[in-house]
Amino acid sequence: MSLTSLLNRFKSASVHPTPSESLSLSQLAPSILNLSITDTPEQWALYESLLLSTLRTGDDTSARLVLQRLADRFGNDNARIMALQGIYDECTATNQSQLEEVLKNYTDLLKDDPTNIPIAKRRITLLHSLSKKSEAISALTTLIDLNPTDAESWSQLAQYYFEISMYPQAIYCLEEVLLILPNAYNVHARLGEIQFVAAESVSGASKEAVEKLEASLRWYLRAVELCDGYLRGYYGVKLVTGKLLESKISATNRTIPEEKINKLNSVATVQLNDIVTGSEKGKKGFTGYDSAEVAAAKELLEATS
Amino acid sequence: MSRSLPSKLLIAFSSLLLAHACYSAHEHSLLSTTAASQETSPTTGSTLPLDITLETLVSVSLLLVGIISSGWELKPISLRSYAGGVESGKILVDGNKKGKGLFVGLDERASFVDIRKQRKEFTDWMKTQG
Repeated sequence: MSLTSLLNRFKSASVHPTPSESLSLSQLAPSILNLSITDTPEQWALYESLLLSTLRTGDDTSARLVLQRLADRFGNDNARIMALQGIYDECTATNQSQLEEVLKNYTDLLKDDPTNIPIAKRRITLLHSLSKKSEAISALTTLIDLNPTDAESWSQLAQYYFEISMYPQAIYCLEEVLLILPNAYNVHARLGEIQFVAAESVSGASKEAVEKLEASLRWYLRAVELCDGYLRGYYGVKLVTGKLLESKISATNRTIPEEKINKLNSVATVQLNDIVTGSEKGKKGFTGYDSAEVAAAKELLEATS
Repeated sequence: MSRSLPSKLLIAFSSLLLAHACYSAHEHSLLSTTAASQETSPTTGSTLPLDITLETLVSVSLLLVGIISSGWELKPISLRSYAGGVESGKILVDGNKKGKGLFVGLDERASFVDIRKQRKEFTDWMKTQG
C-alpha cells in the first residue's frame, strides 16, 4: 500500500475509533515502519496517527519505535514531540504513583515554558482523567487566558462544565467558540443540545423551561440553516418542536406561535424521512451519514408517528 | 456531464462555423501570398476580409453560449450546500469518514484525547472477544 492510501485510512478513522477499527489500524504498523523514510509531511502525520493507534491497542514496542523515529527527526525538545512522549508515558504507567510522576513531569515542563500548549493540554487531560475535575477546569481557564482564540480549548471547557451540569457556563464557552468560528454548525447543534438538557433539568412546564426549549430550537434552526441536510440539526428541531407541542406546556409561556412550531415540526419530519430512507437504500448523495445516527433518527420518527 | 440537445446542436454548428472561418482565413493568406509573389513589389500584408472576421467572432460567441448553456453541474459555493454535501456524502473530502463534517475537530478535540480511557476500552473489548 502506498503512503497516501495508508494515510487516508488513518484520516478516515475518528479520534475516538471503535476497538475493532483501532485493531486494524494498529496492525498496519509493520507495513508503515517498513516503508523507507521519505521525510515528507504526510509520512510524519502517518507516524503520529500510528503512534496513537498502537498505544490504544497496547502495542508498546511499535509505539516506542515510532516515537523514537519522530524524536530523531524533530528533536526531543519539540513541543509536539514532548506531548507525544507524554501520551506514551501516560499509557505505559502501570500504577497511580507513576501517573502522578507523569503529571509532575508535565508541571515541571510548564514551569520552564508556560507557553507549551500541547503539554498544557496533556496536563489538563491527565488531571481530568485522574478525577481532579476542578483542578482540570482551573488549569484550562488559565490556558484560555493565555490563548483566548483557541476554539478547541473553549470547546473542551464547555464539555467539562457540561459534565458537572454547569449549563450556563458551558453555553458561554460554546458561544465563545462561535465568536471564533461563526460557521461551526456542529457547535450550534451542540448549543441546542445543551439548552435542551438544561430545559429538562428545570421543572417541566415552567416559564423557564419553555424559554430554554425555545432557545434550543433557535440554535438547532441556525445549525440547519448553515448546513443543508444536517441530520443532527433536523433531529434536534423535531425533538424540540415535539416537546414544545406537548399539551402540558401552556400557550401563554410560548413566544413562538404554535402554527410556526407545527410547520417546523413537519419540515423536520420530511427531511429526516428523506435522510433515513435515502441512507437505508444507500442512495447516491446519502452515503455520508453515520449509521448509528440514522438509526436514532428512525427511532424518533417511529416514536412520534 | 449531461448536455441538452439544443446546446449540443449549437456547439456542433458553431464549431463547424469556426472551422470554416479558419479554413477561409488560411485560403485567403495563401491567395494573397501567391498574388503578392506575382507582383514585383510585394505588399507586406493584406487585411482579412470583413466576412471572415465576422464569421470567426460569431462562431466563437455561439460556441461559448453553447458550452455555458450545456447544463453542467456547478460547484457549490455557499457554505450551506457545501457543508451539507460533506455531511451527506455528496462531496468527498479526501479521507472523509461517515458522519464527519467540516468542523469535526471541535467535537473530537484531538489534543485532549484521553488515551488511557481508550486503551482501557480496547482491553475490555479484547476480553469480550476471547
